[in-house]
Amino acid sequence: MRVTVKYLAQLKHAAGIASEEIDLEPGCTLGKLLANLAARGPAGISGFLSPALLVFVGEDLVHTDTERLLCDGDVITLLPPMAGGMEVPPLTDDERGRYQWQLWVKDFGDTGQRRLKASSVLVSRCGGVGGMVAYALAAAGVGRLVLAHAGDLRLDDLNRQLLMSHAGIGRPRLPQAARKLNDLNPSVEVVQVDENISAENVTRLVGQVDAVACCAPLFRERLLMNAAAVAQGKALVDCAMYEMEIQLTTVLPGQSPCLACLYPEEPPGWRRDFPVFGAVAATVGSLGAMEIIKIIAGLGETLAGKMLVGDLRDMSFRRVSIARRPQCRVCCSDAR
Amino acid sequence: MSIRIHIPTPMRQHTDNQAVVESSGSTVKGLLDSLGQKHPAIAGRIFENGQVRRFINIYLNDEDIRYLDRLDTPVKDGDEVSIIPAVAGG
Repeated sequence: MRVTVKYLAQLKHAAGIASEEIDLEPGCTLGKLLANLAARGPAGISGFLSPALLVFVGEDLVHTDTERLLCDGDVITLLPPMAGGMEVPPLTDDERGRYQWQLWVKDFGDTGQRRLKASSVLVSRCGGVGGMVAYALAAAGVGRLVLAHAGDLRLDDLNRQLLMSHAGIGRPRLPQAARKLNDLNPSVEVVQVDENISAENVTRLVGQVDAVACCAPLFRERLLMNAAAVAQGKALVDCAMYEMEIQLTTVLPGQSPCLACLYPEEPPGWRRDFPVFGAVAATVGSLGAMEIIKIIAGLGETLAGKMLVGDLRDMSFRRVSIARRPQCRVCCSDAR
Repeated sequence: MSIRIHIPTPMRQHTDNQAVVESSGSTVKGLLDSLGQKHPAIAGRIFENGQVRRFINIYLNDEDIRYLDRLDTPVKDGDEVSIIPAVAGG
């Protein structure tokens, strides 16, 4: 039987080809194919064949399932989990200066900084929470930020939307956000998408980034971003708040439960308007940005499989475990 | 035996604004029933037809009770129970 193997992102460069057809014995498993590739595949790819590699058979993310039987005609797609620093030019003197204080972080250093520079992150929306995520990521030197948020600034946004300005009331939010981010760090590319997340745009928007900061005030938008991120193997950090409470979790497709495991359906009665302080939004936004930096740079431990729940009213913080819902319609391939 | 139940902000209107309510019982169900007797309005926020609502998760310490023995999960002195509803504020 014959299958097609596709190499994406840096793997394509390492392999020197985008795809190839491979003849296999009938009954060959995914694990055997990967072992074959490591031994006899294109030179340069073996370093990528780690447990972190995202492996799709057709549309299914299957990389933990090495026993999966392959069939004639299968298309196996191999995607490195995150843009690496390898193809990024070395840091300039200006960048070394700008990022000096974080370059002192030992397990981050030059490699981590170059990974950030090579990376792109979708932030939606970019109000109280997303604005802070974007601000912290711009400061840290993420190369490209895709901001998705529709509409004009209102007076009652200003207690928390820190990228905005009083003079901008009644004007579109996005150009104000982009200006503030580039005032801080002109080298960050800011892509402005004057839309909120919808079923029509989510695949395309998630498709052009490495990671997603999920900061929308509506469950529908969050669950759409979650489904697209899982389908495309992109990391997602969900940042949520209510009054003085925060919730934060990280979704690493193939490795962790997803948002739909936690909340399989939209809660009725959730309203877009809710009580909150700007400092609460900035807290969860900063924590979310740190998760994204860790994921991209490969630092520390993320909240994958955990949710941080914090109550700023008494400054209590707890981490609870999230398990994969066996019938999750988003991340459980058997249920799809 | 007294066990602390953490009440999420959106439900504190039903517990006289208390963030933590002490309750007693031998299972999670017993604890929540006794919470509901003390603060009747909260029961309808947590349960629907005797089941925990789909967008509310109940944790015993840091474990989701859905992956323990659900409402029949036994509790012991010193345990903490958290009611965590879906929140989307952004």
